Amino acid sequence: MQSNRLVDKQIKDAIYADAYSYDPPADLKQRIDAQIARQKKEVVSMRMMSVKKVAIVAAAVCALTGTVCMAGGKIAGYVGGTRAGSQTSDFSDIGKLEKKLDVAVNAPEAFDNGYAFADASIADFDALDEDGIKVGNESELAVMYEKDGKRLHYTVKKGATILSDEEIAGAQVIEKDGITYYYMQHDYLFLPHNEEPTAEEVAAQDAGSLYISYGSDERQEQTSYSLWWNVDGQSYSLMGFDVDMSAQEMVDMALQIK
Amino acid sequence: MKKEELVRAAKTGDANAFTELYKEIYRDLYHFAYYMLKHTEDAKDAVSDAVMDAWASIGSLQQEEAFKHWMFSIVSNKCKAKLREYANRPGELTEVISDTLEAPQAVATPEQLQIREEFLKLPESDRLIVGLHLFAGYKTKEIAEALHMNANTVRSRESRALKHLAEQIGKE
Repeated sequence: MQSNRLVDKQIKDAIYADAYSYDPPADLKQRIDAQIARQKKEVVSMRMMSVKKVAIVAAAVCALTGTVCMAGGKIAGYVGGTRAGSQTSDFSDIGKLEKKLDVAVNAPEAFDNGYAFADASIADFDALDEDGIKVGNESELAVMYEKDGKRLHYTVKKGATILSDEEIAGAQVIEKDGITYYYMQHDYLFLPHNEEPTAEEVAAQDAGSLYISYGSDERQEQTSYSLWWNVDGQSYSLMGFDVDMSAQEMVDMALQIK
Repeated sequence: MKKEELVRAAKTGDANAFTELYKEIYRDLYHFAYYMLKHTEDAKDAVSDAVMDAWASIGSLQQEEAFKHWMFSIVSNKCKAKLREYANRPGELTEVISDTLEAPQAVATPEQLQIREEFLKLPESDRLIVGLHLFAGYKTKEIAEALHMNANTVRSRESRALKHLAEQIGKE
């Protein structure tokens, strides 16, 4: 028996010695680091947000990633990003992504105002409570459009988005062809994880005029322009930062989604 | 920062904390994947996909101290999926096996190369058991739980696999 154990140990030692006689290919870590860096901006943390604000902030911040997130209950933040291998710059691949999520996006290849298809992907987000414990998850199909260097995210997910009274109060409401559209503008401050907001910024956040989020590579101040609507059990949004679009222009774009 | 603190930070979106965590074990993950798949490129894909999946879903990790085992469970699922692909595309098997011998061998001794070759001939389930034990540090009971097997079965399969390897390289 002891002899068997000795042989077992020798064999295990030999396998171990072989495996660790070489390093993994050098580009493996580079590849992972690059993927993480690409998704850095796609990871959001909203520990400092009040629950009421999380919904709006999550939605807008997720627009950086082409996703829509809503908060509710004890959700304190969202963490996630683009699903590995889902990103495509081939417009004809959107059908495959639709099948994966069982949603219909009916995305045009280009809008009349010049925004043209850039890429599409699926994003998965975990909803976390204040202790960082997962309490839910969301998956959305995001189609990115570009025009003159500005990016606009068109996102679709299963299930209706229910806006709070506070959110609706701050929105411009447009009724068109039996669909209710909610247009919103919000000022955002994106900070790296290791940077704290100033007292003035915290005061602005408390007053509801500024939304602060963490997880970006550098400090950025931007204004989001977004349009939300629900049709046939799906939630839709158009959203972009610093795109300077009116409610009417965004509704006109929404009407081109058939 | 302690590992549990790094996991908590990663859960809130701290990419640097997550990088610290995966950096410590990606070599183990790669060796495990390579010994499962016999293919350097597929092993790289399995590890990078597993790490990115972990980054996307780290919020679902309930026990911070279980990070390494959690990562291995993800990468072993990636490897199993890849092995299923191989099974469905038998024509590519020859290519896969020939890649084995192109794998890193510059510093390996003839005995190491021989044992690697024999290890890679073991059945998939035996490779999984020995690999999880060796590279992930799983105990028999943990392997049994991970693979939904009886602990005695795990023990006897591992013993049989090691005995077979010993016979092949003339240790018995």
